[in-house]
Amino acid sequence: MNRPTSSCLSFVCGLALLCSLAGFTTPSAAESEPVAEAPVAPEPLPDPDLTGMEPAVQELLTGERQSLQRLTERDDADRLLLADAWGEMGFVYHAHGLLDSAASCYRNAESLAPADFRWPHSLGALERERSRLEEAREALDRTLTLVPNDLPAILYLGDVQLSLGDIEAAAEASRKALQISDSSPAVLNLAGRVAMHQGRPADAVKHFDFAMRQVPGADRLQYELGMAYRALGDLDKAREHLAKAGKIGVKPPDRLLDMIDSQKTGERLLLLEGRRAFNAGDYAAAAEAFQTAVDAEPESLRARVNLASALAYSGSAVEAADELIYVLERDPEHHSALYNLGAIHRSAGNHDKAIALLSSALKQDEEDDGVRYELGLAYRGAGDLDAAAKHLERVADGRALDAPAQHTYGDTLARLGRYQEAFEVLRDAYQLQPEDGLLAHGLARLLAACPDPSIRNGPVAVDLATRVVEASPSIGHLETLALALAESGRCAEAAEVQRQIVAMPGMKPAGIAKYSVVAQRYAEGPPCRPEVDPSLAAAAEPDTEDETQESAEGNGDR
Amino acid sequence: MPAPAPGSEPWLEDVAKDVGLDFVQWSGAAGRLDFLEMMGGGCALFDADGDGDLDVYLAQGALLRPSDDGKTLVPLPKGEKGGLPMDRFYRNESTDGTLRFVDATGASGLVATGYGQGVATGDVDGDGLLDVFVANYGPDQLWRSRGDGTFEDLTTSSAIAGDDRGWSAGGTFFDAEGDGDLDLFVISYVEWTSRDDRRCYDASSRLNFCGPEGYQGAVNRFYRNRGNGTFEDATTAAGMLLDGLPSLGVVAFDANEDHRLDLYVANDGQVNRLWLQQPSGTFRDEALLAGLAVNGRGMAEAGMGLAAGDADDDGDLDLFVSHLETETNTLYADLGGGLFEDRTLAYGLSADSLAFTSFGTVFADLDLDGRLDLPVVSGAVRLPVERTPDLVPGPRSLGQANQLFVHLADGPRGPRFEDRSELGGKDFLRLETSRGLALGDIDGDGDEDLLVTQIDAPVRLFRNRIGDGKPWLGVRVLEPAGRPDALRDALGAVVSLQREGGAPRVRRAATDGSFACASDPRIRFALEGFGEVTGVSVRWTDGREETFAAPQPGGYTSLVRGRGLDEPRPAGSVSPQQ
Repeated sequence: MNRPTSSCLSFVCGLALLCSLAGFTTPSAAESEPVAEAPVAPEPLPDPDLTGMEPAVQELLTGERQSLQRLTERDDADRLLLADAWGEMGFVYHAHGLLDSAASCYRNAESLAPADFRWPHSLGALERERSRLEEAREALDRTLTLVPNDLPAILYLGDVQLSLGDIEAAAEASRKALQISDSSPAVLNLAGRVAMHQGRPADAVKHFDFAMRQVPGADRLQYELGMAYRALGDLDKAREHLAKAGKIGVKPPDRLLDMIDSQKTGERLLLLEGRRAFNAGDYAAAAEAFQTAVDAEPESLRARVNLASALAYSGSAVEAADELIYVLERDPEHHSALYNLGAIHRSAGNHDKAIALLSSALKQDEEDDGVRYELGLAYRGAGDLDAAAKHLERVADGRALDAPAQHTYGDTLARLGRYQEAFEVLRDAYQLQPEDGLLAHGLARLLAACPDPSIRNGPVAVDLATRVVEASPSIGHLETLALALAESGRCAEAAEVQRQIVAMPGMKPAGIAKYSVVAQRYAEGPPCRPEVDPSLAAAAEPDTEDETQESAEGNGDR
Repeated sequence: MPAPAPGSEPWLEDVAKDVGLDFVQWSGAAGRLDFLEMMGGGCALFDADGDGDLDVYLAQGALLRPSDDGKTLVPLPKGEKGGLPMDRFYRNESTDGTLRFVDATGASGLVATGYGQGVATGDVDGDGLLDVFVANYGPDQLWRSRGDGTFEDLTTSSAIAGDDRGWSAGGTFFDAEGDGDLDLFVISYVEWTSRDDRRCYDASSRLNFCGPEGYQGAVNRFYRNRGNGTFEDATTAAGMLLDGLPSLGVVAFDANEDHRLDLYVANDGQVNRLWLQQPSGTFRDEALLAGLAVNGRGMAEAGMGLAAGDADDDGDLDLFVSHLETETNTLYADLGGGLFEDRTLAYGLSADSLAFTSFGTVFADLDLDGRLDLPVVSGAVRLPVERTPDLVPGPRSLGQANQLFVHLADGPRGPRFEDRSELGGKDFLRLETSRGLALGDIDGDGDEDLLVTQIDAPVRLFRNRIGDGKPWLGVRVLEPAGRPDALRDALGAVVSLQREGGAPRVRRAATDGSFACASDPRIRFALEGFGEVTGVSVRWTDGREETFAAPQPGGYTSLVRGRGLDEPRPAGSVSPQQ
């Protein structure tokens, strides 16, 4: 996105459209009265120190400031046009964290165009952002005097009132917001928070639950919902929701603030924004920010690699690969690009390509465990288990707490028939992390069905598998439990568990046939000990490359 | 912050320089804005030589240089010979009411080697003397007090040094399994390797200090005391080996009234952990359901320092966690049954903390009115985005004022705190980069004094003036230590001052909490308006309770386990007639 350095007129048009979309009435040029004298803003034009900023940011800020300065020096400047120019300057400063300067610009804009809600709205949002609550409240109050139904402003005000401890005022804001939109997640969130502060957890549950249904991805609501259930004394429901809690919240839809965000320039800032979203698990937002960074700086390989990561996590592997190929065309030694493209190929089952890319990356940095792990997986996928084990062993040795690495290494050893070593790896890893389901399942599977009977230990396998099934009753976990029960001579129970698999919703005919045969064999026991079948000893892959019938039927082993 | 009321005198006065505490923390800042530079160093107030007054330990920073393999930065060796500043030990040599400290580092045998971060104190060898654990960037160190102002280096023999390149932030000594010796829980911050030696930028695209986001948190360690002053790393066996989170604060207390000490760990920008001790002696993180993992809105905050105390005078221990600016400092009220609730807003602690990045904090009844106040020391972690051309990028430009939240008389909705920072006095309000805060009665007059560490600035010792002359009584709670006839501070014990016809006043004996600092384990009770003291009871860390006769006011009384009016009994049982 290339932005002109001076864009007051086009910006005014943009805002007019924005206000029209928002359903607000914006003072138009027709309302403007002829000015008798040049309008003067009460506060001087800020001149923030720009030292150390990226050149693109300096250029933007300097250019915008010069444009505004020229406008303020004109005797015939239109008051509203000048207000818009001040406001735009405020947006630009605001977007780049220069909040004192931005606030000063907004105040000037408001002074010049006191009927325009955008300036107190933006000022209120800014003051709330930097936790100057009284200033925020005053500005938002002024906004709502101009536009009583400015929903974002109402929600900001409600939040500010809560922070100030004025629960009644927050409740009033919540009521007003619900009248405007009783299904907006942000409105429901405020209503739920107010209800909690007023000691009405049942109402809070209703609000949070409804909000949660609107935006299931906003997993921070799960926490608030969980705590509302806790306040009701329903600890089971509380646990259920708390276990799903995450970092993504809801925010009011605010096109003005969105516009401020769009003023950001400079690769660093956009990457920063993208990384924040990425770390919060919001990959779509991360991809959007990184895409903007790429648009702003098309030759930035760093931006493209970040974009590729976000795209890959968003499920757009092909687009991600395109970005990485672009990078490697310009820098064939780009470590992150080699790694990421290798990982994409590995996930897609293109093992040879993956091995080539990842080997190149590993040559650059032999200590990069991430690359080595992916390379191990690629060799595994290609059927070269010895090479896979060599790499995975090194990763596992250095990362005792990396459960997937430990599991994959143990599983690879089992596939190689090195059962005792596999057992030792999984046992040691499990002892370090007894709460890890992946390790518990891998160990249970080996103990239940290892082709080397001396490794087997039915009772321990049953104990492990039972806990895994309690946590997640997937087909793979149930199958392991059945194997463990069979190994323990508990054939009828094994058959019953196996029948549960057959009865699972969505099971395809081939799966029904396969699991029914085993169920029948268990039912005919004892003895019903699992046969010596190497394929039974290894649990399913910890990744998606080698999906078995289970996952094809909708149940992975994770 | 309200203006000072006419005629109101400052409660606190910085006397550090006047009494011989001339320590200046040195960040080693070299203009790179290294993450470590802005974390500061800790302190301890403890009676190192058994003479009944409080001595001072202060952790020092260091210059950083690339390691031999180039993978990380390591501190240059500290010490007199190299001319670089080092950790300091000051002995309290006050006489005739004149407070005076003497730098006794040279004679003490204390030779700190790492980049000093947190300090914890506890009697690890059962000789009745508080020993010193120093958490470093670099190997940690443990020093045994010999009782004469000198120390023996137990780092190697105790096996608590941790990772050579680890970044430990602090720790707490507590008797986890009730076997009479103190175990050690060490909190660590982040993994910092050359690959992580990144540059960070602010919203203006300018270079700024990094935060913990994007770094892998380091794993905390639980060291079980073998009973002979040596330790074994029991992190795995205790079930505490989870992914590391950036930890900065820790307290040991019984969170769910099951008579076992638990651990609450404040993490920076990540969920906090509440390690509930299980009957098996292992620990399980239950912070989420307890309501202590995140704030009331479900947001993980930047946990820095923390305090445990009875904020609402209902007889149990509440928790207060200090945070980054734009976040509140958060007060979690104990609801009973191991459940807590974010009551920051209801207690009036929300809005006024939003402009500050706060670190050290303690519950302290500064004005001896019977209600616990909250001094909080602050300093930013990021340079201001909007800055003047003369700003020098570095830790000194992170200055903020400290805050004092005074506990007012309870309102209809419970206790209320009010920002009365102006009562702290001019030195308390200086824009400085404060980090550590330790609490103790430095001059033996029964009121709470504060020791505050700062980055690249002198330590401050705030002597309490508001408490002067007010009635008080002090207790030190002691229990049998490992050696015959030796007694050690019962860290984690909860003491209730009883009165006729009113609720008891509850305080906790501890050295842990705050940020990076260890406090005086003695407890002081205000007596003004309390009524007649009828006795005092101690809930020991194993949950047993014991009653003692009313201590004499105006001084400290030792409450020794097994020497009360009755035998220690299970909590909740009927007291024998006195």
